[in-house]
Amino acid sequence: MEIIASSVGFTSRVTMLHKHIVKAGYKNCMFGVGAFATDAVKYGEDKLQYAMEPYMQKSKAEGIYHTIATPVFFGDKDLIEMPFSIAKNLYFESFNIAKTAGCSSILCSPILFDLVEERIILKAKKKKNHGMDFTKNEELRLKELEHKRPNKQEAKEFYLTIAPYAKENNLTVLIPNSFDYYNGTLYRNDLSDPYRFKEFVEELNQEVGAPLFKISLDFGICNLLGQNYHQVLSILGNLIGLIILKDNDGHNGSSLMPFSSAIGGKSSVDWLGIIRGLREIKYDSAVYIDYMDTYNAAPVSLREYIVDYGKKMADYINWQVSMELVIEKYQSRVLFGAGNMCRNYMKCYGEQFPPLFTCDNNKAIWGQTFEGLEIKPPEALKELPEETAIFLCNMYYDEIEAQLREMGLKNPIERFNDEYMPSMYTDRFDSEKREIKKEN
Amino acid sequence: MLEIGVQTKNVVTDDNPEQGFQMLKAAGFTCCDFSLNSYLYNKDIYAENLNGFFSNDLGELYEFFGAHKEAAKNAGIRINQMHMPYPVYVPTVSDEVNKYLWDNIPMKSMEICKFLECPNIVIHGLKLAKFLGTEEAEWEKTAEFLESIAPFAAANNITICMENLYDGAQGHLAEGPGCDVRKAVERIDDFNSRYGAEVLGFCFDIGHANLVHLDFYDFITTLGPRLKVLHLHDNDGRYDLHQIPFTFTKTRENTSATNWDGFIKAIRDIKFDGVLSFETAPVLDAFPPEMKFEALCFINKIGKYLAEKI
Repeated sequence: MEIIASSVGFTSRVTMLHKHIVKAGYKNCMFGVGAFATDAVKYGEDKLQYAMEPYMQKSKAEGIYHTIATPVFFGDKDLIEMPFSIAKNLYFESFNIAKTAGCSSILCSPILFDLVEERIILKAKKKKNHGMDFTKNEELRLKELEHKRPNKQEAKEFYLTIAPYAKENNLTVLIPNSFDYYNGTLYRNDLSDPYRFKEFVEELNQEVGAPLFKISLDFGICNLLGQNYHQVLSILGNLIGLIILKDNDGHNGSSLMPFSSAIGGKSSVDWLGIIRGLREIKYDSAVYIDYMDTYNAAPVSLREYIVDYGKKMADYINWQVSMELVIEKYQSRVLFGAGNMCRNYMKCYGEQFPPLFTCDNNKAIWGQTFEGLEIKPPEALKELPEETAIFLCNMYYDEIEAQLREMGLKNPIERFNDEYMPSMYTDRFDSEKREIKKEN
Repeated sequence: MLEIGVQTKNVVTDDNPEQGFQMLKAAGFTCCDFSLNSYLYNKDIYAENLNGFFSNDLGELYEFFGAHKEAAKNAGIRINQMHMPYPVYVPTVSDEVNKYLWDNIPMKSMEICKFLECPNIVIHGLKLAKFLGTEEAEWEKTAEFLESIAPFAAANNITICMENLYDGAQGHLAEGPGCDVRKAVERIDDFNSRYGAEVLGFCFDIGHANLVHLDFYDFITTLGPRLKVLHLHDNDGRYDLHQIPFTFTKTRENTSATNWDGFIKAIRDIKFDGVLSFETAPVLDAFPPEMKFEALCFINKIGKYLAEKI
């Protein structure tokens, strides 16, 4: 998987976030064109490509590259103050800017430009005289526009409008999942129900005669909509071009560090479903871990560590998702460990990828059979051909790997993990008592 | 106009079913949803606390429910649907409990359904995806359970209705079995085609659907004629509260936060001809006992409102 960091563009001074991202070891960053929309650009006094030059030079020097861009558009506060035509032009200019930055994809939410413009005109009028000459009908219309979300046909028209810009700049358009809004409640729609979403994107690609459109799947939205991640991933499959991983509590649209939204020691997000789904579709496209709420909520002096932890989180998720690919890689293997992890390996992978035997440091169990495997002393590993992989089925990875290297072993050593298995026992093996106990 | 029904739980008591059914009649209902699941609650099953009710043989069960059947008839209340106790299999309880459930609940429930001349029985699909790994593997086990009762259903013109469920996800709820309407349609059609009868149908629970943000219109119109029964109730989008429709709001305008408009339009568009059945027993817990009858009348009035709109 390609791990992508937050957008860190700047126009004059390097941002703290940029420094943190670079220090943490990220190489690929989202390219937010909006970072270069200075006041001068907004009023037509400067160009985006000039405003982004300092950033492009610095990121090149640091080895930072960009594969996914987000186009510039503005919040209502800015739109009230600037000519709408400039805002719209800048949006379409974003496609060329994205290409210049080396991007191959651009993430575009559908925008109803005419309705946005109408909304801004109404808001400007309301603001101008403190609402004194704002009629009841205008008030109602404004409320309607504020909650208006594109329907299927409107979204389709938008994407067909931007298709030529994407094609011209060799960009894949990533369509984000979204929802309908009804009096404060979110409901699934054509861009969240996986069957309908798939159909929507396939129809678009058929209409433009090319696989121009893919999906950006924001798991935070999936969580708000109570969706089954595994199912969503399974259905959308290789139509997904970007996954946005984040935590939230299922009720509020926060962007929290994975595993940080928890109750009773358990995550509010079904990470088991996510990992299972990503493994099932052998996902190897882009992943953006969005923890900007955690970052911004943290004290300034601790933010660097948040970003560093975010990178470790990304590496952890990458490790988990690619675990089955690693198992498949080897012609022969042994396990190290004769406890639960070994048991779970044998349950899910033992038939297709059988180990020759397993080892354990507990000499009391040497010579016994566990899950169909002979338990041998670690010394037995020295007899193995060098290409036989050793899968560590024990949480003390660092210690055991050090032990094996000290023994002079040159075999590949891989770290197996059973936190997200394709299927699970309803009971658990007690390694100390060497017996199985039912789990609630 | 569509008939209006309501759950018997908290209304019809075992010591005097006549009184409860007469109350339903007086409140304006013509149908009811018989709460067979009240005789072995899910919380007791999870706690492995079986009460032995379903250890009774059929003769004893018929004798027990004879009074209920009589009372319903006397009140002119049609038992349109009932709810089988659930779950019938729990992966984390003892084999002994699972054997008891599997051996006693499905068939005895079906026999009671036939005895009470009820055409629809609602079941819960098994929640096993976490352990078995996929929704398909989970469905295989549910299908095994359905196959055990489908022949009886076919022979006795009973439709077994799958319901859309939710699953807990630490602080919020996510979709559970029955939420993939396209798969539900395939599976219902497969069963019915093999048995040459409508042995399988669907129970749309709008409260559950609201909790996992399903698109009501898409769901119901995709089901079409496979939709046999309803569980109507409302909630705040966070908890399965089973309260009266239109109760909950989320904005300053105080408009109903549940898309009842979408529901009405869908039911109308598929030309649903079943019963608008309310699963609102908790309402009768929430209101003072002295107001039970008024609460029932109000639920009935809401049913009539929905029926008129449809």
